[in-house]
Amino acid sequence: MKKYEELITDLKEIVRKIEDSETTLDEMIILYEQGSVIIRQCEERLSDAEVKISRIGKE
Amino acid sequence: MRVSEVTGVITQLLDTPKLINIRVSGEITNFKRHGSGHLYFSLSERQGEKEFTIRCSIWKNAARYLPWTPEDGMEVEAFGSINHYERGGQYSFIISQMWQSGAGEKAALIEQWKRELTARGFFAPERKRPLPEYPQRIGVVTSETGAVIHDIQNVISNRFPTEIILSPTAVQGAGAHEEIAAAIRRVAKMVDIIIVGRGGGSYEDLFVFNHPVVVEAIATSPVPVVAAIGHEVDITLADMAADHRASTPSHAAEMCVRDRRAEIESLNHFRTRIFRRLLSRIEQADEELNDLRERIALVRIERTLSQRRQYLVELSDRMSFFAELSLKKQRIRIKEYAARIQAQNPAGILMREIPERRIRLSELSERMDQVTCSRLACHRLELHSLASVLEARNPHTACKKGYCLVMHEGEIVSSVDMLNTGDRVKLTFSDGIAEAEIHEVKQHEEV
Repeated sequence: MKKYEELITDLKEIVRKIEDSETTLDEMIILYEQGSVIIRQCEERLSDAEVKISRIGKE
Repeated sequence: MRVSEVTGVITQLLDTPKLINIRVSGEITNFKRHGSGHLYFSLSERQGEKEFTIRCSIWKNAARYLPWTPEDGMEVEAFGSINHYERGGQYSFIISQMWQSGAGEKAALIEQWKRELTARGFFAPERKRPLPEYPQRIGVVTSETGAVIHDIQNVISNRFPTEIILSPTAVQGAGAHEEIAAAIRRVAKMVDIIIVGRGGGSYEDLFVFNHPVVVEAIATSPVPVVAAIGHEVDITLADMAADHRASTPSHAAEMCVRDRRAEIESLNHFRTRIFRRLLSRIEQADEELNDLRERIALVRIERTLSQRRQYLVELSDRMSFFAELSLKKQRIRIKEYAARIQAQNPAGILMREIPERRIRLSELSERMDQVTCSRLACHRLELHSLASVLEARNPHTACKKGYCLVMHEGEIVSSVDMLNTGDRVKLTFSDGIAEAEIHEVKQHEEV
């Protein structure tokens, strides 16, 4: 599973490409779908995650 | 005795060199900073079961020169005088100067460490590392029992759920510095960020965080360290060596993780941005298509055609207008010419003369008729008389009287000399022909 940070990095790249005027409409539609999937994954990650706390021994 | 008399006696009794300009050491309790800027607290001392307390005040003017913030539990030395407040029936120690106990020696030690550690580059700003944006695991070096770990846990679970690894350690007391350094080193390999925290405490309590062992552990940590140890006024060397400094453990936790709501907002923002961009690109494509469609549309072609046609009509109208104009002129001119030609036309002249001539002709004809008629009548009369003469001599007329015409060999026989016996002759009567044979020829004897 990808890290949240990696997802955000991917998303930013997609946004950059979508906002690039060189990108064709077809590419844009594919990118938009990919972006939507990543956004949903990120949202799920944010809403599902619970703080986990563990402790390590003092030796 | 009256109250004022008793009060007077107390004031007098307290006005003694033993209680004026004295140096008192004790622990601060019930510390309060009044809105006016005056500080109120007590100096206490415990001896076994017994506890002794003196009420103390530091007026605003003196408080302003205090280089540190007093807190409950601090051991201090205060310089001032006992004063009797007659109106409240209370005496208090009015302090003009105050020091933390042993502060001088400790401060000197810290200064020495600071110089040494600075020389080793532990506080250099270029050593400071940025925090990872989305840490996966956060190490917390603090007391297992204090509020620090709970505060951090609360903040992180609210903001951005992340795994927390607690590396417990004593944070004060003998040997705490070694323990803290070990706790840092232990957790550093497992996490992306370390928070080193201490939930408040006096200058004395925080002293351990100035120890070079702790500072070195922080400065040499493989991952960024956020320190939340000292206060605004008392920054420990650990704070200075850390990559980032927070005012409280909660603040440190806030620095380590992003706010989930802000993150969701930013995701929504991304969603809107890319959606809008896509939408506008689609609209643009749609427009382009419509434009093309319109350009090749029959309607448009027809419109263009009709416009051209209209233009043509206009042109032709203008042409015919001018043509007509010139035609009219020409016609007028032709009429003029025609009139002039007409004036010279022989036919015209004839036309004018014909009736005249016709009259003359009819006159002539009439005269001719008259002449002819009279002449004709004369002729007809003459003819008539001649006809009657002729009739009178008509052989057929003679035939009717019994005469006949004798023909021999196609010739009229007018004499017997022309005949011989045996000749066959033709006798022509008025109503037919007969053939006869001559038997005898005799001439008249001198008849």
